[in-house]
Amino acid sequence: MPHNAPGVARTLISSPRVIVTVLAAVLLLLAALITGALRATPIAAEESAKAPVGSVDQLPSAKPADLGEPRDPLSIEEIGYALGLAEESLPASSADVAGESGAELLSVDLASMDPTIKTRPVEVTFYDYGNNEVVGVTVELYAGKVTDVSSADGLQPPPSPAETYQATRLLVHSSDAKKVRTEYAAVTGAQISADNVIATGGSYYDTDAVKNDDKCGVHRCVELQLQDPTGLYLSTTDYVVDLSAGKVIVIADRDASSVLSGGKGN
Amino acid sequence: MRWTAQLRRRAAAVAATALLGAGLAVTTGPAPSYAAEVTTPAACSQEGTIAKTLKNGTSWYMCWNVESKKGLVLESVYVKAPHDTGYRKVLDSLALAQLNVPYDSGQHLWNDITSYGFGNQYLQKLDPSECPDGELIDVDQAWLQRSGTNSAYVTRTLPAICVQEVETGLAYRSHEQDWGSIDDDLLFTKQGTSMVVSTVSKVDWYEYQSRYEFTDGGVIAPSLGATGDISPEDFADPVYGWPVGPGATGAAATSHHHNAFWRVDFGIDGASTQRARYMDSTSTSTGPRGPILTTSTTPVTAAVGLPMVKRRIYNVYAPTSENADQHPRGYEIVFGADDPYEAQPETTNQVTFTQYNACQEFASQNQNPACALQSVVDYVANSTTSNISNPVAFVNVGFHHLVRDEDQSPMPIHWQGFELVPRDFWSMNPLTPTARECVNGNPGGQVDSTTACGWATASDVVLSAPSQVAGTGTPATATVTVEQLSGSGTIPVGTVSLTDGLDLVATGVQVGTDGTAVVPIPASLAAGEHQLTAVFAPEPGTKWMTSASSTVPFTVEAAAVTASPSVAPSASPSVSPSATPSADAPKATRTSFSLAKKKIKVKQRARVKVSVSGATTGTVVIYSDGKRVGTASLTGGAAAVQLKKLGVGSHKITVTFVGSSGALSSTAGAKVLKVVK
Repeated sequence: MPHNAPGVARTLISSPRVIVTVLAAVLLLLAALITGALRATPIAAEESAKAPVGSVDQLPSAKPADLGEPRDPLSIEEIGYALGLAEESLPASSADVAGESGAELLSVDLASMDPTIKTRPVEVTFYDYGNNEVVGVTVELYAGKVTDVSSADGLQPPPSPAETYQATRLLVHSSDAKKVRTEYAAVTGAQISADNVIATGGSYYDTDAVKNDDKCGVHRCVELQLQDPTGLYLSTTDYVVDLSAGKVIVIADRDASSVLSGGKGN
Repeated sequence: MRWTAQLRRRAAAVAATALLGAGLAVTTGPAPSYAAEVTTPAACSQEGTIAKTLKNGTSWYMCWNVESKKGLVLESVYVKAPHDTGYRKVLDSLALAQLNVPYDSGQHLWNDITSYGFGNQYLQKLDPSECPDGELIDVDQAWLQRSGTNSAYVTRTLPAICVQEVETGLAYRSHEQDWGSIDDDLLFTKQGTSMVVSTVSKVDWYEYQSRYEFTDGGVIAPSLGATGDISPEDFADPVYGWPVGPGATGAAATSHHHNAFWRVDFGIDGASTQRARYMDSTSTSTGPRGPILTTSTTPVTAAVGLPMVKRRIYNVYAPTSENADQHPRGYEIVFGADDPYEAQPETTNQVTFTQYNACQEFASQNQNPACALQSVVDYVANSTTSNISNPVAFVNVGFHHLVRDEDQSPMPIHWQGFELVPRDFWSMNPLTPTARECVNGNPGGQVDSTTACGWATASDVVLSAPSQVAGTGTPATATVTVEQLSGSGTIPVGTVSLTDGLDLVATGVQVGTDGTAVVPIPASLAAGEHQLTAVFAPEPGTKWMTSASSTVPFTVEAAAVTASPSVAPSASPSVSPSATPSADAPKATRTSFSLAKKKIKVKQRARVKVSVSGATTGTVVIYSDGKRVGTASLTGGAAAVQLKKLGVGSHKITVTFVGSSGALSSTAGAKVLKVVK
């Protein structure tokens, strides 16, 4: 503190208005501390609004008693109804990510339409691993009929949570991805599995710079972000999972921040 | 269900506003020749509607849904300004169309919309603290989940959309002070508000608020806020990053570009033909005192990608829909901060106009199988339209993020967005006060509303009772107060009428020297629900201007059926003598009430204690400014009621006992309840 500072302070403090202000500020600060207003208060999950999450083996596929207006948001009953109708129009050769009959469900959305439409078309999107293509089935809910089926190869919509799970299983068991397993064991003391990591998956296309990802785009490829239970991100950016081929592709060696290369593991 | 009640409340507000609009229409001069105005837009039900009337009287209406990739989608967006008689469409739909995030190192490139998505599992549940003074709307979702060898559908209903009314500061100001004068003179000033509709989606470390603001001045402002935390996967590159950890050579976070696209499908006044154009103002020569800017207009007839150019205004208008000044209605795209990213063809241009095509949903990596993987560049290249009549704009706003120390942690939200601003959608400021309604065109000098438009007035009506029995001997009265808004300080001169929709209920009651007129409601008014509006008719030859009150409900109950002569008194031997009160004439009652607090905060709900002498059971209804805000059943002639939340301001609370077969209705007069922030 500079030498002249105390003099300045005395002059200021001798002013009654300043004293009152300072006292008021101290009292306010105390009050704030008491009420906890200055504490950073993260909201615990159990304290925040309840949003019940259900789990059912099958969605209700019956025609709901109440269908919405043409551009109303879809209800869970309508999603199930649209899905049931759409599944009937999938080709016999279709397969899901586990190789079972029937394509993998990606999304059920209100179809993109001029909103003055008087019908209620819903777009049900699948990835058909049997034919390596996206199948878009348009279902008109009022008539209860499939009105259009279109398919596209090369198109890779966001992977579903089920596909992300499958990709995670492939990655954590792959001999090519030893780095992720070792890293997980080192930071948690436990063995990695698809059920003890938090996974996010994004769709991935062939890039010019990387040679061995050439099939991605035609194949269903997923890049993963994995976190250990404490939230630490694992070094997954070297890998892409080709779900169509059921294998892991090593695309780079770039995780300088990995704990295994002396980084802090971000 | 909780949200059903909320949405019903919204629908009621819309209905009330439509009536208010109808009442206000009489304040304008000759009726402008409006094109078809929509009063009940109905693309979705109440559950799928977001609607709000803002404090200054502007109303917005739209349908919502949450798409798995785009997140929040708003459709059929309508607006109604305070003086409009109905809603008018602005947009067919509005949603995000891509969020492309290339990192400067060239190592990572994310498409957060088309490779992840803002819906399904990425849509965030909102805590009530994130939506202060707002309403949360529930979203239904279902998707397939696997764990181990099991697969099951996850279903959830989560509060994910927040609808709020927020303060926006000064909306307009005009002080009628002569230039050079320091005298206080008539001041027109208004604070504005907006409706904000928002969701949050979390795509790994980044969390995005998708935000749509609808102002009381008719502006629509889509924006995207990025918060959460900086990428842990791009944190080791001093060449392309900025050190954000300890030390000069500490770990560097890689710089990156957020390229956000919105798809704007215009629906100006629902017109079948809309046109797009842009205006450029360039310096062409020099005049005697300074440079000359010349504005040229270029019509957009074919699909085109347009780069960022200084002072460029993009406009979509409906040639057949003219405002009262005979100018075609339109909206324009206005940019604030924007860095279009020229390193990729699809992010280079600021605006791409196309002819509407349902298949073209995304700005890049298009997800519709019928035109898969196309981008705005393809839409332009493949277009064969040479006469765009249903324009869609893909609007690109770029933000280069050179990470700062302050971005940890959590990262303060940073924004990118644009505005859709009305251009001649209205013939005047949609919030123009009555006394300025004639100031249209060259004002010819400092506006003086005492001479410009006449002396503005405001009318207010209070009923002595919310109901009466048809043919009653003591009809209710309407006390109408006519107040001066501008001009020299005297009491408005003229008469007052009461209207019920298109019906005249009473007319010709002179405004007294105290500024009030007491209008008896005719005993002959037909049984049923009425919506009464008081209208002030100025004395001819004076400068006073007409004004109308807001609308108040009034109920006329059918007269009690007189004892039927066919029922012989002697024909009921089984009726015990004590069980005959219904045969007696109904008793008069008296209702009184007290407010628990005369002043409450806007978050609180007022409590009212009611007592009715002369009745032990029955229903009481509590009104605030004539609107029903609570009901209760009497127990032992008393009831305690918690009212609905009320807006900031003074409210006149009245309580009515609705009566029963044995007791006549009665009303307790107004008590003022103040609601503060």
